[in-house]
Amino acid sequence: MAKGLPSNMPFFDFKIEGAKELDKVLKELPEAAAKSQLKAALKKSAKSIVADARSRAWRSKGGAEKGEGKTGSMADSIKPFVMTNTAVPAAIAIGPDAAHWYGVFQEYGTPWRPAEPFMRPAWDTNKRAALAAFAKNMWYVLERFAKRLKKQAYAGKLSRSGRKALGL
Amino acid sequence: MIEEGLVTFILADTTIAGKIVDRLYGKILPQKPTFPAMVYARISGERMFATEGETGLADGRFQIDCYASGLKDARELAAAVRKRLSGYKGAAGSEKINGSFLENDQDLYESAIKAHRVQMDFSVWYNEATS
Repeated sequence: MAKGLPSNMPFFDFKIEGAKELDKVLKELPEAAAKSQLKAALKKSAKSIVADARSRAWRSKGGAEKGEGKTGSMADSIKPFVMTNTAVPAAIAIGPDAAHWYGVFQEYGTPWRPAEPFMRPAWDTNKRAALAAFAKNMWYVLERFAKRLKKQAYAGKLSRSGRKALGL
Repeated sequence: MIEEGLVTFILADTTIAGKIVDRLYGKILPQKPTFPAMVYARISGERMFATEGETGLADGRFQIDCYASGLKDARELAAAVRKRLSGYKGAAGSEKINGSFLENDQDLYESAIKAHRVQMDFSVWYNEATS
């Protein structure tokens, strides 16, 4: 479960099929390094969903009297949360933070307030683009990771996590 | 319109109509609702395009809420809706459903009206006229 995310927000998942080369590279990396790069690519791929959801979510102007003075608007709190204790190597959840729990009222409506969904339309509209972006982003974060390690190695300043990633 | 087709198709089910009669509302409940009752709303809609233009194939996400005074009644109503709609392919009023799938459901409680609510999301694939 993602920390800081309301528990009753909608939940979806998807799989990347056929990314054999990517899979091969990830298998060559130590598990922790592979996981961290997967999470980075997932977060990067979620950008379009986050932006769409933020554009639809409540952004109260009179935030102070609604207690938003301290927590900011619900729309701005929407972001990807890295999930822990998952059955898959890496997973993220997207939504408002726990301080904006009342987002469920907007998402699902109440008996007398119609639903003004922001998460489900954002997902439905952007899921294909996010999926397409994921493989590209995965290569991007792996290359960035490799460049960082190379730079550290040439400088003789390999970090602890860098040494671990190289199996040293 | 697919919404009208869905309403016609749902209310044509004797189990559902036996419970709610015609209390299937768009978007919100009336001020003094009689239970059990249902509310439907379109959440999102996607249209499929090909190189020639609009194909006429659409995928709509519909939220259907089943309200009842008791949790058992709300769940029984939701089960009847699931049996009616999930996996269905065929006519719905004057519309045609190519496939309908229950994507998600959850139990909620509405303290303001002291009612249980089962919220369901259906993905409904259908054809619509193109210009």
